[in-house]
Amino acid sequence: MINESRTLNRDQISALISSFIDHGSIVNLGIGMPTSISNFISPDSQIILTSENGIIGYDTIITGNVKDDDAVNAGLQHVQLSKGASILDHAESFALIRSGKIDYAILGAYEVAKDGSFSSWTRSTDLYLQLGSVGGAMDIAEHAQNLFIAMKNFTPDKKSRLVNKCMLPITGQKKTVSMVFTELGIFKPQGNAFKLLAHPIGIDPNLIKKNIPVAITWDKNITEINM
Amino acid sequence: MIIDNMHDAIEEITDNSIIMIPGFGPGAPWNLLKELYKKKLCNLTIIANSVGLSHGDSNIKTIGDFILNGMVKKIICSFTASPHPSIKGPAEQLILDKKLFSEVVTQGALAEKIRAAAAGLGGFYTKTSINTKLAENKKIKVINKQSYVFEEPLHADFSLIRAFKADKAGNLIYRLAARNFNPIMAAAAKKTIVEVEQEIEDVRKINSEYIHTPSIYVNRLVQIPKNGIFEVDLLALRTKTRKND
Repeated sequence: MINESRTLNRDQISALISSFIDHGSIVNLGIGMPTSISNFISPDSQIILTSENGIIGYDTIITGNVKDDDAVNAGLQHVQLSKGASILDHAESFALIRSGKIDYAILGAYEVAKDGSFSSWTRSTDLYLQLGSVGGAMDIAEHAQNLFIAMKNFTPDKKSRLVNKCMLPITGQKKTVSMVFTELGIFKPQGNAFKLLAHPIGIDPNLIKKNIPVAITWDKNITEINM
Repeated sequence: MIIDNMHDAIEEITDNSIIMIPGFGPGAPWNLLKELYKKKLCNLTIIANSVGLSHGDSNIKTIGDFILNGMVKKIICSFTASPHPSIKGPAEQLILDKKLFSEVVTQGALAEKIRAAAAGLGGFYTKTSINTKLAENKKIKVINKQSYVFEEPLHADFSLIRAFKADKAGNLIYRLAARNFNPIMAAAAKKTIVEVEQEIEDVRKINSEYIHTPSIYVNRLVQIPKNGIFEVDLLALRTKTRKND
């Protein structure tokens, strides 16, 4: 059994992801777990956070009473605009996304496959053209330079979200996902397997491998995450 | 044209109308929506980013409320379903029961389809959704060895717009993320009806350089009354959305 006290929590995953974002990058954070990454971006990093609602440049999520309802992120959380922020309308905001100028995007997912495809937009395998919550995920997945997925490793009924092949309709085709961040560490889709790049200290890679029904490889000198 | 009240502002909207409704959290025309809801129309087609759950405040009428009350025939949205399995969106059961027509469009395609209509274009090619099921009935074209999906423009009879400032000519300014779909929807509909937060200013009070939507796109302008809806508790929308993630 995996010792759950050793697994990474939401904040630790967010902090971990923020450490993989190069200084000076342009970044889009998706709804859900990814929005909390903004709280771990250092103001000195010159990173520009963008939101598909048209805000180019925001800092931390604001909690408490000071709030401006017109300044929110993709998840409708109140945010502080950065110095030098600017505003686009929705068409221009997505033109920016399609331009390829987003260096890093972080999205959630239902499943990620070993070929780097992922699913996140519909749970229907027949009525998907009518019933879905695609939002901007396909636009972002197809055009961002690097796509990270932040998600829980297992569904509530304990099925692995890291899979051989996505069972639900895909959001992004093969080779779309650069890295996956879960409570069990960092996984890189490599076509025929996931490569485990780092794991939480105290959780043996062999145990991770045992719990995920997909080929997992790792280097001898694999990084241990100690947060 | 400046209209005295919300009721008269929407008088031309009838059954079977195709209506664009902006908003991505902020920027929704809550006062016009409240008035439209009272009209109890039917067979509407709604073009919007998402359906939206019912809000706790009964003054706030989301598209979900219109759907649940049988006023809507079809929705075209980037979110027709809730993003999370544990919550069902207001449209989901009706879609499954085939009582509501719906079309899922990626948010970028939705915005650009609206812009294309506004700009007099017959559509556009995008890489978004390529090799996914969302592109399965769409025309694919290879341009410079890259595959693109063809998307058609989206027109509407009416757009209901929320502006922060306006002058008496109908020039509009939006505020921060409340801008979102407002400028493109204002330009894409046959008739554009605008509710304005701040007191409508005399012409020339707004610097021409800073106008977001020029008056030529605006047909009807109405001041939000002092007892109107100015601030919407996004937290109430958010708490429900938060349960979704």
